[in-house]
Amino acid sequence: MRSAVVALAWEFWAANRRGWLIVLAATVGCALLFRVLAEPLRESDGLRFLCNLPMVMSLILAGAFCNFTDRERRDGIAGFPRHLFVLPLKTGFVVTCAMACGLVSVLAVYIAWAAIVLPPLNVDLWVAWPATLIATCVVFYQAIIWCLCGFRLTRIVVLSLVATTVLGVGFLPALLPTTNVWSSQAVLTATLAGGAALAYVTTVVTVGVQRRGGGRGWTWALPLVDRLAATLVYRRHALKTADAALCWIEWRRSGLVLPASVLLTTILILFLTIRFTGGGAKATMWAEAWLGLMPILLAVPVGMGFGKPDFWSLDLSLSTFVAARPVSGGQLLVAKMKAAALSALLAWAILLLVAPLCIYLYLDTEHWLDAWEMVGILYSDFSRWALPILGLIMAMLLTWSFLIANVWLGYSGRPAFYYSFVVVGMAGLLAALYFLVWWAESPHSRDDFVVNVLPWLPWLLAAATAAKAWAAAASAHLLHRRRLVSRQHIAIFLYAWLAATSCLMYGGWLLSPRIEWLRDTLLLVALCMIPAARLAATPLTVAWNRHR
Amino acid sequence: MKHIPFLLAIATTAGASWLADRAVRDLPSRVDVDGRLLRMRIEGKGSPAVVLEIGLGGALEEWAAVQPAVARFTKVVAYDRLGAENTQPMLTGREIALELHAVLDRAGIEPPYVLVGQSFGGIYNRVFASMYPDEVAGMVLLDPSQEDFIKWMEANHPTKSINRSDVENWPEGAGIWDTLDEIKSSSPPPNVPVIVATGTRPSDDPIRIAVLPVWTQSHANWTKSLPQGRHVLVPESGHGVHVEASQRVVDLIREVVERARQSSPAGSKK
Repeated sequence: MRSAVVALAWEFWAANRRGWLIVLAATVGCALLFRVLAEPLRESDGLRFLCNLPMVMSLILAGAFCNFTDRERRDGIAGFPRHLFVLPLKTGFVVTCAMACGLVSVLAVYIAWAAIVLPPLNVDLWVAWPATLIATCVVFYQAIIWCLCGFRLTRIVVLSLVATTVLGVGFLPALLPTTNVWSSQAVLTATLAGGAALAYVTTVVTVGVQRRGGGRGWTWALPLVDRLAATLVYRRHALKTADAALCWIEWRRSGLVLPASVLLTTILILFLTIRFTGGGAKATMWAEAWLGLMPILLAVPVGMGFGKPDFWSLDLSLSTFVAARPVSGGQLLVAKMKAAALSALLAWAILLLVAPLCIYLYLDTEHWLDAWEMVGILYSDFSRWALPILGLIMAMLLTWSFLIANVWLGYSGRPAFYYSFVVVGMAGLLAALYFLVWWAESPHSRDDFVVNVLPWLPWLLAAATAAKAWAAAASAHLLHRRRLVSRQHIAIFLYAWLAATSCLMYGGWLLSPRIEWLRDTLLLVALCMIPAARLAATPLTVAWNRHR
Repeated sequence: MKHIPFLLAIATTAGASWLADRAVRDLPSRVDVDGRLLRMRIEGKGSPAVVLEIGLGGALEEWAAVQPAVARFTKVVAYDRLGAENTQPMLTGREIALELHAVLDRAGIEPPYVLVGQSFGGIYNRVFASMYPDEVAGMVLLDPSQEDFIKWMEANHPTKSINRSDVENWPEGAGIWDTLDEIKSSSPPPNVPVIVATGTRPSDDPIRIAVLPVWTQSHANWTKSLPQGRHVLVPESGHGVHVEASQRVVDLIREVVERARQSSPAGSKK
């Protein structure tokens, strides 16, 4: 390449080549799809809103690709790519090129969506103000990951604070009265530009220091931060068994991701409902519905990471530390299942502590009494109490099952295999969201759909149940023959599956006492919900991965 | 031990197949009426046959608490138009009555009929009775819509009345106003037992508090105009009388069926 700029731009793009191609393909694909389906999509406000989801995911991906850091992490530090320091170029030039590549890429994605992909759906997005916010976020993001490369925990905290601040600044023009000087986009743009300029200058200086061998951390601060972090969660007693140690590792690595996500989403939904909707009955019911679905929906993407050997790594191979442990594949699986169970329980505990109290204090709760009376009319006294409790247990079981559904894939150690299923899973989640919105907005089309699907739905569910049962039986047979899992573990898992499925089936039975076809269909759905075949296949995929 | 997983797989497969078969057998049958498939569930034996007409857009499953109980003393038919192919943009009361008459004929349900209608289903019942007066042996109308009340709502509470733009994409909804015109020009119900039940459960909703007296009075006035009419208040129920007070509804239907049997030439259940 003849130009240093082109070479650096190529370096930036090549670091996440496949990812950029996926973003490009998604943008072009959605542009074509939305043009073809423009008419039906324009008729539904909910579907049009959901069409923003691929844009958000593209922007998140593009933002993630701005994580232009060392590929090989030495001393656990991943900062500005050190291999670029040997180039005969000034530090400022290299940093500017890298930052400019990130800016241009992310802005190009947003402008493509706002100006080309979404307009056929009559979705008019602002361009200037969001572009300003996005550009500021990219600059701050890259500045933080490069400057604070030696402070992993501090980096996460600062990133969260900055992201929240920029989000808040983004809402100021809408929230503040026009007489307030801070409601002016011009003033805010100038402020953000000033902040971004400061971040840029700091980055150039810090990377320059790193290039000269310094900037890897303040030796006096790091031990202090470590001591503070150690006081928060610290196990002081030795673990007695290998199983307990594995479970502890899994919990520490990724157990808090779902609870933290649920907490943040709960606060966001409640804040938006209380602040912007007036807290009426309809808005409250919508908020309650989304809050109830949130842990289950979040468990899908979190579960995709949970299924990997290491949640925080893209590498699917078993780490040397884990591969060398004297534990079986079954024990690895059990550790994941226990950590997932704790994670699901904690997520629901947080939701149940925070949400009902806030709803009771700030939103309209009169419909609670009406709903309780209606349930009393439709069901017996026993069912009236049993159904909410069973419903909660069912929701927790579903959350747990989504968390562990991909463990068999993650432990396979085959990226193409794993990521293909991840893409299919995310597409399935998007399709499910589209379906939910269509369901809510089209009562008559919905009824027609249900009536036409009913004659074959029970048979489809029965076929899925049979396929699952035979796959689980075949896997269990192989596990026993290869002695990958002990009889005791197989029996324990079988009892756990039977208990969980029985709970779901009993809930389905109580839910529809009079309408027999609905009751039987719910029983079939319950048989399909708790994974069996996939979990039984996990020790096989672990063995496949471990010995390659 | 090594055979246990396969035995469980056999048991699960057999159980799932049995559930699926039972579910599909329990689904309502579909009866073809000129290309439209109407859902229908028929239970019980006897005469007169009770025909259950659900309100606008409802499903026959709403009668789940009523139909089995009524089936113990006579034949009972529940039907709905969910999933029927919409071959026309609008369905009026007359068209619905013609369709119901055809579907009862196709299904082999012979007159006389006791019509039971909830909400706007009550208006469809009245149109049917005016078109086929000799085939109707009685009526039980559950919190039925009344044309005078709808007119009063449009005048006094227009924002809470039926909004045309909300219903025009759906054949029954689009036909509401034509149906109201049809009922105004139709003949009064035949001289048969008619019971009108009004759900009067108190509510905190200020709109319901304001309209309930007018709603109740409209039922009372209409019932008074009938030679064998009776107005009944159901204080334990709101608008969904068939769900909230299902046993009371069964008792009212039994009363009308028995009065119809006493006054019919055959005088006994088949």
